[in-house]
Amino acid sequence: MGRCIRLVLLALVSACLSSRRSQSRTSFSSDNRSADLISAQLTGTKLDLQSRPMSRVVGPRSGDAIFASVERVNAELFTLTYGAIVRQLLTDLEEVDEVNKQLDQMGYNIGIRLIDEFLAKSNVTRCVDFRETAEVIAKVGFKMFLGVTASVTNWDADGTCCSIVLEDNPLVDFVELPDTCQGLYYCNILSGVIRGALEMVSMKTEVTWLRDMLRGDDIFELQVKLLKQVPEEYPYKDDE
Amino acid sequence: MQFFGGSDISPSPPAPTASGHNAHMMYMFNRNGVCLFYREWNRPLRTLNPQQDHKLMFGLLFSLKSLTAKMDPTSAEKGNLGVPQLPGQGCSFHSFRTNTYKLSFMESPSGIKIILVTHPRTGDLREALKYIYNLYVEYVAKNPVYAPGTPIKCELFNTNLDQYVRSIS
Repeated sequence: MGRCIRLVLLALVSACLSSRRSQSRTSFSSDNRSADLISAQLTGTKLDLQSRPMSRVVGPRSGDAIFASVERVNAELFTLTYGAIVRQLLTDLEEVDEVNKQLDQMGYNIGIRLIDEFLAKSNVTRCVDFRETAEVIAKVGFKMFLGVTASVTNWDADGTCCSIVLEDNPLVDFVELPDTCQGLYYCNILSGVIRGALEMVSMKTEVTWLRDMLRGDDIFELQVKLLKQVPEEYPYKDDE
Repeated sequence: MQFFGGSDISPSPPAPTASGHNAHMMYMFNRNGVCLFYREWNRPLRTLNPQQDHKLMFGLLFSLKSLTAKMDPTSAEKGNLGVPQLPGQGCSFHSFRTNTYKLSFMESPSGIKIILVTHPRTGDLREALKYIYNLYVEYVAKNPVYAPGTPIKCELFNTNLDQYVRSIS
């Protein structure tokens, strides 16, 4: 049962991760190439693949621009689906710590795939240091996938630890934690996503929740701590 | 390896094939050297078995990247050759051309390397490689049945890739 849910989550979330706060249905935006491909597949029509101008060099896109151009789902569907998943995990696993761990693992699996989509759509080049990375996550990443803007605060002295603050979180609409689940980090999937995504760009991090609105605080605060950068090594042992 | 005699005149490049494909072959690697994808459309000469061929290609790119980064006249870093680098950092080469083919290369910061070998008169293929990366994201990364780090076996990806490659000039 648990494995089935993981697949459902991955399929659903990986296919329609962007959400928008409105009552409208899924909308396909026709100026996005991947949306074109998908809608061509669905309708069975032949897509005219005129190649784009080859010599144009495109800079990084802003979160708003990408959010507007990518296909979106109904935000309520997203929130309710996530809620159903957490509820099912609680029923299956019963232990709140286990559920937290499982959510983090699911987020990690999403993050390792999400990073490619993020890099492909946003055209960002390699970030020079961790400060820039955190800014990019907060301004472009969160905006592109969840439709909310986060901010980065609380930098420590050597620039390896910061807090990402979310005022608005689409995952927790309509949610109240009951007394039996007081240790639950409801949005733990987000910490897994960030950890997974950063690991694929060779940064080992530790992501924890400092403040959580469902536990009575006024805001969501995620602490992201860079443990180390892992440079690329030649993978083959000998010169065979 | 073929050696052309002592003549200074290079042989004329082969004409594009009748099958309509403009590319010879394509490789995709991840950061651990696993060959995720290999496809050939027009490859008359094969000198090595597939495993050696993939290893050779990966090793070539790894060394070339390292070399080009160290030879960079504008960079301030004074690292030694062979010191591991973060993917995407420093300068990276994007293509090389010989008298019979052109090899275009793209690496994402997540370590996915895409290599496309085409005929030598092809223009700058950086946009094409970015488009192929987008195809990878749509049909492979978002495919829940695909396990990251394993060879790609997605029919949709193959079909769309073939279709796109046919349209590259």
